[in-house]
Amino acid sequence: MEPIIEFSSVGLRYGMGPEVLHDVSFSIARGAFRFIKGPSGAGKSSLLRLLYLGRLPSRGEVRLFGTSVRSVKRGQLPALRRRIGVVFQDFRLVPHLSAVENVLLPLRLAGLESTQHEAHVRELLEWVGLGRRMEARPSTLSGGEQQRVAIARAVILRPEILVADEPTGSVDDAIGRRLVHLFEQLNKIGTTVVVATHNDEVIRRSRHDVLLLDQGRIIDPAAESPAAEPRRSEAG
Amino acid sequence: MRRPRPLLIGRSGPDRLMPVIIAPMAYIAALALVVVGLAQDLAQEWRAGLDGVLTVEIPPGADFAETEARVGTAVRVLHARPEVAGVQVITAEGADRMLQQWVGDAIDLSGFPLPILLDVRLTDGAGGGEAAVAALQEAVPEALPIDAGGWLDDLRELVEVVEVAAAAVLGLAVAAAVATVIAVSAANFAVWRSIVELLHVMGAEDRFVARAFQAAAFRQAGIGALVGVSLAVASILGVAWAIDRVDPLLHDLFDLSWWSWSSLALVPVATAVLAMLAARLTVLVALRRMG
Repeated sequence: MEPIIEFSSVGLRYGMGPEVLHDVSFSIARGAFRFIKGPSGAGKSSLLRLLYLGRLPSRGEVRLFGTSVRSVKRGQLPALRRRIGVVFQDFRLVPHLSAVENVLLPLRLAGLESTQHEAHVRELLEWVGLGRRMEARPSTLSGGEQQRVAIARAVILRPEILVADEPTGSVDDAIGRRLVHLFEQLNKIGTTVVVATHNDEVIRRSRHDVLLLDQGRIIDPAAESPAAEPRRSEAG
Repeated sequence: MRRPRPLLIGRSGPDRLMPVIIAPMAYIAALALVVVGLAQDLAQEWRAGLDGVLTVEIPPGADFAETEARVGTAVRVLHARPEVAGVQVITAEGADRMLQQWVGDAIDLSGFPLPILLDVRLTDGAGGGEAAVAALQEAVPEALPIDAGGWLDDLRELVEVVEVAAAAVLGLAVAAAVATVIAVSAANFAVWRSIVELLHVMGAEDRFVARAFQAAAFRQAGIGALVGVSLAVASILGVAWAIDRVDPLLHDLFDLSWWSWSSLALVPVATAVLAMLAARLTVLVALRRMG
């Protein structure tokens, strides 16, 4: 299957600082589920930032949906970004908007806000178990509830790629398991899922490929061949 | 469907400062506009009063008879000229009345050898009445034309200097207002950066984000300018009232034309629009830097 994500010799530096990613090359097939694992400071968040087009690579090539991101005109980037859903480690909910309004935000940005869509948002919030907290502000929601709002917001536009940064980092194990289960359900309906985590337990329970990252480098690139069958490639 | 809540709500510190800084600038800009308007009105009024008019001074003779002979000759010569439409003699009593407006009643001017003034109205196309003056001076060598043209030129220069100075003040006020809006917008951008970054990553178009900032700038600058212009109008009316109390004759000096009032009314609108454009540009540049 044609890769939906391709990195070739990608390097990333912030401003004039040192390179935080070095010669990163891998690809992910459309519809795959991939964990990115590595210790703190390994470069997971930077790699995800390239994935959700929060940054462009300093060198090398990133191809998303078969297109080199460098060749995309600036004015076309927002449309490309809307094809990618992001769940941030710190949720990044807009504090003065309710749960419903936060989930409506991507629709608002895409100019698709309507009564029909609001009903869809409410359905989605029911589905993630927040039926009774729809009008609540983020500050009144628990960590797990905020996480679910963030996930609902990330998937409301039915993105082709879902990127999650340490989604289980600030929730207990039970909620963490439920979140991964939720991602797997989304993956089953065709969404390519990339989850960065350093939670071994979460990875062990699932049956998805793992991309190991350490000090800004991919540790086991051979295991990440797009032609390879999905398998566990964790190396400790 | 619910009405969408603004994405960048609440007033940040920099946002709150905007009207406070814009108000004095709008006040200065409004006063500068009024000065320009008044200078232009006055110049026009003086020009209209002097166009087609020639004033001639006849110095008093050794006695009344000689003075009367000089005046009689001058009036006769001038009346004979085709470029003269009429001549009015301003008598010593008339000159006394004019002078008394300035020196008051305390001084008796009747003993002073005041010159006789001739107010000569010229026909259209008579220019400065040079031919009539030449004929007059041939008949009455003591006759002295008062060169209002030179005085008018000086006045015109004065008005131009005032206009340039007022325009410079206006330009400085506008530049300071634009700089303020840019600084406040940049500071606002920093305050809301986390949300802007989020919107950016979620696929917000630059103009969508810029709209939120420019709307805030339009509102805050508009409020500031409205306050500034209101204070300027109050100041102008206060000064006009005070001048009226000192001398009602000077009241006309402060009679603003409809153009001046209209330009004052436009200051808040122009300021708000300018602030909106400056904020939009600032945010678009910041977004471009963001990537």
